[in-house]
Amino acid sequence: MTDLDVLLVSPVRVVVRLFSLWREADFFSTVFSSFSRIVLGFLAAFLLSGLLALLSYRFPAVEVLLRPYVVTVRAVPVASFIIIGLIWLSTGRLAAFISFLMVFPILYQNVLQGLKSTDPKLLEMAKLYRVPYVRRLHMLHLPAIKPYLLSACSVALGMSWKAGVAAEVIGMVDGSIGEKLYYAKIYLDTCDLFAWTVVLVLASVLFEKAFLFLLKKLFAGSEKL
Amino acid sequence: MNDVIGIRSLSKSYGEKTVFSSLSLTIPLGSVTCLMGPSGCGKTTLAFLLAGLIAPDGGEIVGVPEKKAFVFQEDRLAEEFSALSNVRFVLPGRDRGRAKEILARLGLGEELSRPVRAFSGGMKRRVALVRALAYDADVCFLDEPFKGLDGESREQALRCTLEMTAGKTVIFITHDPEEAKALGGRVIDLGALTAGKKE
Repeated sequence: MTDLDVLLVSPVRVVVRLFSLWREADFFSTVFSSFSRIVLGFLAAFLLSGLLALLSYRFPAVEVLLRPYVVTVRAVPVASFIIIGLIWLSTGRLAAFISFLMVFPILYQNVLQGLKSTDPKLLEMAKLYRVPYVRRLHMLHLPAIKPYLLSACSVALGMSWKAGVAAEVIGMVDGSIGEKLYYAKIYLDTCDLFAWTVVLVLASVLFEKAFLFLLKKLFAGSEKL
Repeated sequence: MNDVIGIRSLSKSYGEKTVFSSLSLTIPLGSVTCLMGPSGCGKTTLAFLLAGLIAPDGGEIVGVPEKKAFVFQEDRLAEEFSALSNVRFVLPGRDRGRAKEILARLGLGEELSRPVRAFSGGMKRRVALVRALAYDADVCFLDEPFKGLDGESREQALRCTLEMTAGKTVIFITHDPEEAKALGGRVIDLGALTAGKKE
């Protein structure tokens, strides 16, 4: 290895390393380990943000109660939360926790904004016809949430991976992509750093595409009901 | 049980603009009442007050049946959804058969599953009308329900409205004396009624 290889590695070497990487015994378990934790955090945030946004929309007091948390999470650097997470939790749960924490405010605020953007004239019509709440949710609120949720998910999915892997690096989570990045730093192995980063980007982009595809399908399916 | 809707000393203003000042009248239940008059005389406001969608500043309204249907000036449809879904949206039990039948009667039988965002203005208007007619309300507010319909669709919609609201209370708002005549019932010239009563 030359000094130049430490500073900047050639793309050819990165591609060669990528091909050797996926043949290593722990490659898939490493990717799966990070994937499962980060996706778990994202999905938990997705479900809880929807539920709490709905509650905030119905009961403004819930929105007031959640506001300090949302403002704090958006303002505090992710590194601070990672350190807190290291104190509170086992390293295995750290990535899921950080991924959840970073993604939740984005999804929550967007879903709430979507709910608030529901056409008041349609709501007035539904009230006059005494339409049950679940039906209003399906046909009036869901289409209003759709653009907000899709754009928020697009941002939040990338962020969940960035924050989750940062947590793995700082927390040195066993058998994770973050741990591989950490060792690449320790051994000044720029080639490994680039190769794992490519794996990370690919996993993130593939999950984002798959998730958004499923979400759009779900919306399209609900419009046919 | 009352056989009329009673409006007593009703007043309503929007900021500086007084729409009604001490309006009193009765509307018979079980028949058609046409509200006519120039734009801005308060026809839609009166319908909204009667439907309980807005509150009066003073006076009272009594005897309005509970189960109401309303064809608003805007269509107020869920644009992403089909005509069938929009009609079923308001029906108890989402009665598919009834919705399909009335949509077909108004010439929308072939367009049941297309999203209404792809519909023309006239088609959307018919979906809004079908939604109100299918609901089987005790009182039906129709605010210019045939606006934007061509000759044939208009005839069809008028016939269907007459059939399906027979014996029911209908508050019909129109600018067209021909439409008012076709629907029959009592005609109230709200413009004349409120002239001179505004402060």
